[in-house]
Amino acid sequence: MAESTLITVRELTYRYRQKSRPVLQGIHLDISGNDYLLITGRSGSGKSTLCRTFNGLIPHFYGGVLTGEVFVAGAPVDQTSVAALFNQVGMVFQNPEAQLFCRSVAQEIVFGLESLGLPRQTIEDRLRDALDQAGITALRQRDPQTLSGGEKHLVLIAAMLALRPRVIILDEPFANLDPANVLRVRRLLRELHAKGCGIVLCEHRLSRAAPDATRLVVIHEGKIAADGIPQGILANAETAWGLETPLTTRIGASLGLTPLPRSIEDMPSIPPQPALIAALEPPLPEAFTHQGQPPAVEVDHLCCQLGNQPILTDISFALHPGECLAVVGANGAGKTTLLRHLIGLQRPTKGRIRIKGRDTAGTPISNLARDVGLAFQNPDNQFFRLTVDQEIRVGPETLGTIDNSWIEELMAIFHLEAFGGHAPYRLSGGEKKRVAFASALASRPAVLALDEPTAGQDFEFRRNLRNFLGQLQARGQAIIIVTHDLTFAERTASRWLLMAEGRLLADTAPGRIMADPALMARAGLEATDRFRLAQRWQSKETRV
Amino acid sequence: MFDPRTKLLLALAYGTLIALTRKPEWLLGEWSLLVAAIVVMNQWKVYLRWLAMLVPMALFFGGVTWWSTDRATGQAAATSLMAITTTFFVFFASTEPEDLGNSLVHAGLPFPVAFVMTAAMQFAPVIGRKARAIVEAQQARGIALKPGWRALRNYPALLIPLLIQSFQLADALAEAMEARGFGRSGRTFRKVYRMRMLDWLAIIGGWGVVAVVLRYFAR
Amino acid sequence: MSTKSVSPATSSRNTRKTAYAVVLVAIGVALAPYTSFPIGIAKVNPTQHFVNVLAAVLLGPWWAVLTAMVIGILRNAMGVGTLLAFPGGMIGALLAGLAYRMLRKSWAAAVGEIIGTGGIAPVVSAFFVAPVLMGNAIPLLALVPSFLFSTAAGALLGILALRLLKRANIVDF
Ligand SMILES: Nc1ncnc2c1ncn2[C@@H]1O[C@H](COP(=O)(O)OP(=O)(O)OP(=O)(O)O)[C@@H](O)[C@H]1O
Ligand SMILES: Nc1ncnc2c1ncn2[C@@H]1O[C@H](COP(=O)(O)OP(=O)(O)OP(=O)(O)O)[C@@H](O)[C@H]1O
Ligand SMILES: [Mg+2]
Ligand SMILES: [Mg+2]
Repeated sequence: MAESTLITVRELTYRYRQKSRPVLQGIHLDISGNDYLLITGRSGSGKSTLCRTFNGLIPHFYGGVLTGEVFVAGAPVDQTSVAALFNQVGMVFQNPEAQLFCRSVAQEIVFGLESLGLPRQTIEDRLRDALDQAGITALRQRDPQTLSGGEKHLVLIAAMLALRPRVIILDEPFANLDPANVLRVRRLLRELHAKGCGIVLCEHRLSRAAPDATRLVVIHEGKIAADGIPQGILANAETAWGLETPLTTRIGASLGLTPLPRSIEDMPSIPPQPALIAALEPPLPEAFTHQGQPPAVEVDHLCCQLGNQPILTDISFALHPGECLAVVGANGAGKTTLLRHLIGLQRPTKGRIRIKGRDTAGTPISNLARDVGLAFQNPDNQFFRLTVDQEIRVGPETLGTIDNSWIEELMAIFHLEAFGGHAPYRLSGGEKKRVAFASALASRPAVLALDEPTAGQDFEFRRNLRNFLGQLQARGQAIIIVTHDLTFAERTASRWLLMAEGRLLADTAPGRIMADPALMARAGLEATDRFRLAQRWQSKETRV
Repeated sequence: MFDPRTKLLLALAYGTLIALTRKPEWLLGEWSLLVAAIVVMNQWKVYLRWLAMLVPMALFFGGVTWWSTDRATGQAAATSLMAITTTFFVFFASTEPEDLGNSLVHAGLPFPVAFVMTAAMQFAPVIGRKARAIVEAQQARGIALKPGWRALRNYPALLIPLLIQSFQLADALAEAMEARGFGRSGRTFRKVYRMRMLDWLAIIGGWGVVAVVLRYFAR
Repeated sequence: MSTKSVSPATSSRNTRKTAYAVVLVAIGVALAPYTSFPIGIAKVNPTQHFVNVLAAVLLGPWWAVLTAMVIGILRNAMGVGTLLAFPGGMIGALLAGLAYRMLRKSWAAAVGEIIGTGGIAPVVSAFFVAPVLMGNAIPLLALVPSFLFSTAAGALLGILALRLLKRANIVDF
């Protein structure tokens, strides 16, 4: 056992230079080359910080105050430079864009090998192997920045593979990936693990990461709160640390199954208990019935071409006040492009869009911005004032529609009162998103449009967002969200628009969409656990 | 074909030739040769756009020289300026900055210099995309960011998010570079740049021709 | 067990400087098309001076010169710059970096940049280039006022940006 231990952390306490309080406290952890370790914990709990100690970025790159010890392959990290460790511990960080700095995929993979000073023939051999293992030989000559999100992650993993590390650490690799890409990356990680490479993975959405992991560590407020077999820990993760327990684990725990199932496929055959799902899951949103009000948005045979490429083809739908609609589809399906049309950032090639009954053709963006509040995926794109309060006001001030009591109400809805005087730049990811949503709503638009609101966010954020949206909906706000997080979409919206390759495949209740496997396959999506379990139990019932 | 270092030395030779040429018809000839090379390389569209930028500059320069000396000198000055800058247009059109940087590293340039060159080429479009995304996010809130003097007071809405994100990007990039051994000494290179016999011949030949032309014809 | 207060290792500081240089060059290249405008007959580009001030303060004189040089090379390689951009940018960056190193004030970098690019660079290039191009020093000196204007605008923006970045706790210098 001792020989295979690769990373040893003893009584580690660490504080960043600019911070007054330590981020990590008394961490005690052994990671062996056989582990497939999943690290989870709320946003800001210190997951990324812990990972940075594994290859010496902390303390060598960040400085700061460090107590305790970290050993990698027996060598104390604080006396070993990052340059001496990087080929033992491969790291893939959160933002793929910032990590791809070479002209071609091949060059990207080779960079680390050149750093090692390997001879040319070895470099060529390892390049070939790494491309082959990651299944990206065809991308060899591509410019990495032009790849899709999933491909970028595969390239980064391949760049680490080439170094033949003993363990690979990945910080939230799935945040922006659709189900097909997640499966691709997961398969690669499983293969690597089977070949004896240790895997350490940080992730919020446990239902897609936990099935593969052999071990789970929960970080809570800078301390290790739990460490062991994933299913056992997950059973009470929600009450103890505010984490999402996958549905299968909750079902298993309440039925007293041992071992606890890892996934729906892993569930043993038991008598169906549909009532249990209803008891364990939040209620699904009720189907929307509009009270004869005119629609807030009407999209009528919308087509969009960029260059000669059709991006959107013949899309029609209407959205009423008080309704919440989810647009779902794989990476590149055209979801964001559709949202951009609502506010005139993109103009229809054919067809028309009406907002509150008025055709948007020829209406300037600044006018549309009064009626459509759009929050893009990256909140950093909009912050430029010194306080959160000013930041939320700047939109309505520019449009001349400021309403102070509404702003205060918004701050309350999004729990932002405490941050009013803070600078927006250094808030946590979830707090930034809330500021962006409040800012989108600040001029009382008829329609609220959110692009990937849950990407990279923790469970608490997702649960709160559902409540915020519910409150707004009850006030008659029309809401449209774009997401590939189907679990969130199912819990939030009673109606889905299913998109694939720029076409609208379906516009109906989530249950009817997920019940059609051919449709889901065409859209490249995977039904939610809740739906799959309900379906499985239903089909058994009818067979009995 | 040639090593990037060879091309650089040849460009310098040609630039020297133009700079020291005194006969106007020779100047024109030297420039035409370059234009011919551009047409052969199928870069003339880019060249025309580039000319639109440079011609006013050259006219102004030539004009002032004419005013302060005489017409012939003015014309020659303008032509010479055009031709010298065109030489380097041709050089850069035929050499990837990445190759130039890496080959100079072989000749003793510190690696970070070459790295800045290649990585910045990768990140310029990234920053461009970020700038566009910021403009859109602000427009969606009603903050106009169209080019022009009137929107100038809104420019902080573009510059501030861009700067902050750029420096966050830089920190993430630095971390990723460390994780792939950027700081380690003893780097090898997959692609080797070797000066072959042909390169040396081209350099010696090129400078020789320049010397001969200057000595006997062009001055 | 010991508590250690560590500052980043030298090699890591160099890596970070390299990464900052990369991003500053990328900003210089990416924003130039939007910010360059003609004044009189010459085209000026405040972004170059803005980047020079940032590089001088954050990275020091040598890296600042390198940054200016690489911006020049890349803009040439993309067919959007000319040879004439080199001397101006590099001299300004050097003076800005040296001025900041001596006085440790960001306004010093701005003054260095203005003197370098707005004053010295045209004179130096005039005297270097003039004999070569058979004219005399006057033509390029006529460009000085417009250079001064653009470099002052860029340098001022640079100071403001540095203050903001410091206040937002993004960089420390
Ligand atoms: N470079 C840094 N300098 C100063 N403080 C930092 C730095 N990086 C993170 N922190 C702080 O350390 C704490 C833990 O951050 P960390 O990124 O490790 O959390 P995390 O668990 O990875 O969160 P997330 O799930 O949102 O990625 C946070 O309060 C954060 O603000
Ligand atoms: N400005 C553009 N020029 C050309 N093609 C574009 C442009 N913007 C988007 N596209 C293409 O349009 C398609 C749809 O893009 P869009 O961003 O709308 O997808 P998405 O469904 O939001 O994907 P994701 O889930 O990855 O965010 C993609 O194939 C993309 O490459
Ligand atoms: Mg993190
Ligand atoms: Mg999108």
